[in-house]
Amino acid sequence: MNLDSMDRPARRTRYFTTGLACVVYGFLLVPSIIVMLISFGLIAGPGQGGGTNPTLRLYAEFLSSPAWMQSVWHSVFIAFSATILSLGIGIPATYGLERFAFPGKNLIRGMLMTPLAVPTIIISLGIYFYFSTLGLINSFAGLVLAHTVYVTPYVIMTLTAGIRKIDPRLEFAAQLMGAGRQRVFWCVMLPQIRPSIIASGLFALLMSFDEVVIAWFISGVQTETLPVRMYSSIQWEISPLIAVASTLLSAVSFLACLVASRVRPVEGGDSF
Amino acid sequence: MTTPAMTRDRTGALCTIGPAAVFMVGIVGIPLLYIFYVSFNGLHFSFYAYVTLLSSRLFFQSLWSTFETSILATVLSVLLGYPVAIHLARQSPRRRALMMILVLMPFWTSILVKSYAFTIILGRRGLINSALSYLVGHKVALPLLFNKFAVVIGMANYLVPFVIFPVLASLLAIDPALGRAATLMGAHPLRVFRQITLPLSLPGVIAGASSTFIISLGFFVVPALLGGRHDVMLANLVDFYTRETLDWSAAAAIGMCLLAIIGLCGVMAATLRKVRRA
Repeated sequence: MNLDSMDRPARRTRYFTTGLACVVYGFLLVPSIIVMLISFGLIAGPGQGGGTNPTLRLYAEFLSSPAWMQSVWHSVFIAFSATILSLGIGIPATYGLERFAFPGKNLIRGMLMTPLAVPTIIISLGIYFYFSTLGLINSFAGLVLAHTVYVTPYVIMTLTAGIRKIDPRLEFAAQLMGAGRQRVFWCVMLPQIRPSIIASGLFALLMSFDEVVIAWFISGVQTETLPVRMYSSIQWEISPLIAVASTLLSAVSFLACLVASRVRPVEGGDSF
Repeated sequence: MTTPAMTRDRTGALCTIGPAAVFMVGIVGIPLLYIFYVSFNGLHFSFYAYVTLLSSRLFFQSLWSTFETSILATVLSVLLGYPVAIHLARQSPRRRALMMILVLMPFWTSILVKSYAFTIILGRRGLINSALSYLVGHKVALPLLFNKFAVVIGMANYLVPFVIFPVLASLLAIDPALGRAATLMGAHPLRVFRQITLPLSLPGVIAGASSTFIISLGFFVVPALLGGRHDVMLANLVDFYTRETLDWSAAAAIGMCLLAIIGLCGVMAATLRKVRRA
């Protein structure tokens, strides 16, 4: 139905909803835009003078601040380690869930998805208690392990969608022609789901890089991640460098969103 | 579902799923049981932590605040998300995919970025107050930050996409011929909306609202950064007892209560959906 064929009330309601939708798009996007403007000095952030000239001064300050840069490297290290680990356990697990028949499968599948159903604050609390007794608080090993289980359900969901799209008859054919289980896995299945592996790896990377609640509970001074540093900084000092860190995180999210719009990942909603 | 390649190979299943299962049990399962254990004071079994909670004003205050904030944030998210879903449903698939980026981008934006931006927008000398001061001509300092208003706005900003996705899905499932037929027979667009679009999209609204509400109950970052002292939610209370007062059994008991509330709401939402489908 094009606009010309519609009568006036129809057109008016259409304009009305479009207008309303645009206001909401604006509301959703305004935080990212604001932090970007502050980081480039186009708006004076809190605790800054009135100067509003485009400048990269804050970026220079951020890059030369050992405390901020260190938290960035911590986050990068933890995110990469957690991603590799979660792919390492997630790819075989998804394969097993999709290609083997065994009793109690739904129970196992549900168990692997627990971190989705339980609020992060509860998981953080449990891990905090548990890691305290194990001496893993304020350790990279602890953070990597915690982030691995946090991102694994998303990895499994993305990979499941990928595996369900490929034709299992190819694997069957390979088997008939004498390929063993392992060979089928490595040479037939894996190459076919490579796009989903890349996508799920990127999600894992970004989710771990963004994660704040678990890290807030179990990281310490020596292992402070970028989100944790931002969190305490917003709470206590409101340094204008938070704008740079935020822009950095937004850029990372933009990447995630590009990936997401290409592969249609975990949609929100029914995952809870 | 049995595909040709699906086999009853127990060892194969164990080898592939085993590692992931060990991780989940070891790093999520045991800690969850451990919270339960700590909440009953460990080996010296007692209900002390729970009994103390029942007489704690702080606990009931934040319990109430948790519900109030979650309901407000859910209502606001549905009100904001619905028109966007309508707008997206009307676009051609190509344009919709493009405009989805406007929703996916905020969906993936860190909650910290949002909270920081709202401290700047809503602060006493923030963007809104500065703009108002400029318009009015003298200094305006509306208290927009560190209160329930800021928490609800910040949470809704995060939650709107969780409403948009399911509502959009149910809008797209409506047969467009229905609306066209009603229009041809002379129905006003508002009537088409009230009698066709809205009832048929209700499952999506219920799904979106229930998941939004359940996510809201566990919110931690937004109330901590945008709320005041009276807007503390249960998740913040958990943090407070763990880090400030080091009272582990109280923190664990509150955590168990929060988990029970969320589990109950989840079960209720699931039955609601089943009843509607039947």
